[in-house]
Amino acid sequence: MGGRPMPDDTRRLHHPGARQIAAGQSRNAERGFSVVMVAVMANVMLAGVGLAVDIGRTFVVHSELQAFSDAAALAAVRDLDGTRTGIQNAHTLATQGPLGTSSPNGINFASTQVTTATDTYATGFAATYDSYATATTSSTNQYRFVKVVASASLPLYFLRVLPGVTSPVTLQSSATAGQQAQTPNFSNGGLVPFSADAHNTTAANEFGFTRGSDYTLRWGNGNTTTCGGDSGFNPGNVPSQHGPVDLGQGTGESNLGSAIQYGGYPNASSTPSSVGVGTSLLTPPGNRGNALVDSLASRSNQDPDQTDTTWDTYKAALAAGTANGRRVVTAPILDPATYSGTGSNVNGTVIGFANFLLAPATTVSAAGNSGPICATYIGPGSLDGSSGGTNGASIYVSMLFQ
Amino acid sequence: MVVISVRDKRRERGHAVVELAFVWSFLWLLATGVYQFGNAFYVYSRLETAASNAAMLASRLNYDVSDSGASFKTKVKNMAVYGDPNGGTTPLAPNLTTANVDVNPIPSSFPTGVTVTIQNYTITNLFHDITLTNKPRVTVAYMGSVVCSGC
Repeated sequence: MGGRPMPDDTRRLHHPGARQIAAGQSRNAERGFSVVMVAVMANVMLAGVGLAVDIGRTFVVHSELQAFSDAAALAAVRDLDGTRTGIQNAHTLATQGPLGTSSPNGINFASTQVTTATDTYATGFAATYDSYATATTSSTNQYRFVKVVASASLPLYFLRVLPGVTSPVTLQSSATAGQQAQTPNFSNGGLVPFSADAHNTTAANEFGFTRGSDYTLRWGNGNTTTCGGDSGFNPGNVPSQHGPVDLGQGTGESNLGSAIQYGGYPNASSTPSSVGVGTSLLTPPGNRGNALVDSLASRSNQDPDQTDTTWDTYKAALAAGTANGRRVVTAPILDPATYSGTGSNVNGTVIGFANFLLAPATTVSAAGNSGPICATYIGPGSLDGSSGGTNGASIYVSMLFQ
Repeated sequence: MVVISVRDKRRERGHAVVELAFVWSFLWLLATGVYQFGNAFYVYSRLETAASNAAMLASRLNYDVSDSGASFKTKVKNMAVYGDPNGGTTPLAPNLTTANVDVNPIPSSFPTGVTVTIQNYTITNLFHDITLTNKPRVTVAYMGSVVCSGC
């Protein structure tokens, strides 16, 4: 049993001279054990702190990134009007957020601006998404969907000490917005009580209208017009000075004027309560006095931009924030061949919807009681100003898809 | 056998008590700190989501110029606080009220954008409350209809 020291401590303790040494070694062993325990527990505690602090910050920043992506995609999608400049305007909003850098949806507790957002474009939600560079190669397009992917780099303060955890981490959020054709019947009050005569009854051909050309919202005495797009177009046997329609507001000057300035028709309690393809609308003839033209001029005057007269320059003003979109109106398109009835009871049938840009207020007023009122055709009906779609049978509305 | 005196035992017990006090204090600070930060981040994240959802509603809601947007603002505030434009009883975050929500149409006449801001909201914690000043906030493009119910 003596002689060479045995590795077993219990055996060493039997040696009388080894008692003090063994006790000291035991203490050293305990200290060593404590160091290991402290190291292990420190990691466990740091992991606990990391879960609270680093994961908490991660959730907050990710929520902020998602808010940025949602708002940016929604703002960008309404600029998609089938042109290259539409994509360029959308790109600015998609990468900076609505209202540009003046009111950024920041991250890291609203303290940091998002600078790493990318935008891609598609003609359908499930279609292939093209990069901004690809989307702007052609002067015209049919993009109606935009996807915004925003990312941010977030340093971890505590979790980085754990093995296998790298810092910083990259957080990412994405949002897809699109222009969605609404159900055939429309009832949320966003129309103006005017109509235009279709040149072509096929809605997919945009009714034979040419974007950028002027069309008649109210014909002049004896159904004359000076609007360029209607030059040479004969509406046929239709009431003189036709154009205004009853969306449920009535035919009185006051109600007509209010509907022109603020919409509101059709709605759930009006007759008709909704308008869609096939709806027969009353088209009261006559000039309706000064109320009609004055109200339309007031509507135009709700927009601070009273200088731009083409869609290209006007949408640049929209992008710059110097126009507010009030000069853009959505109107039903009637098939002139369907007009029927006599006197004040003439009706026409709706075959689709279109968006028009109203002229500046002074130009509208110049039409007077009996002159034609012109407006510039922008594209198929859209409640948000423009559309990259070509089907005028429905009204497009911008919305988040994902 | 190792002989440990009574004095040594008392000394060790004393050391243990002191160590326990230190360790317990440290663990208490750690636990409360974890709670403080965890709760603060959780509540902030809830507020961010509430503001974002309210802003999304605002982007499509009819804006009535006849009451200068008052009904519009009420619905957006209710959405931020209760998750329902018509109001509710249980706020989405503790003690959140409509007074803590600012709805700012830009501009106020015919808006092109809306900013929803949580203002002067206090996150209640065990030891140190945190008051948020004008955050979180979310801005969206306004794409609703401007109407006039009183016209």
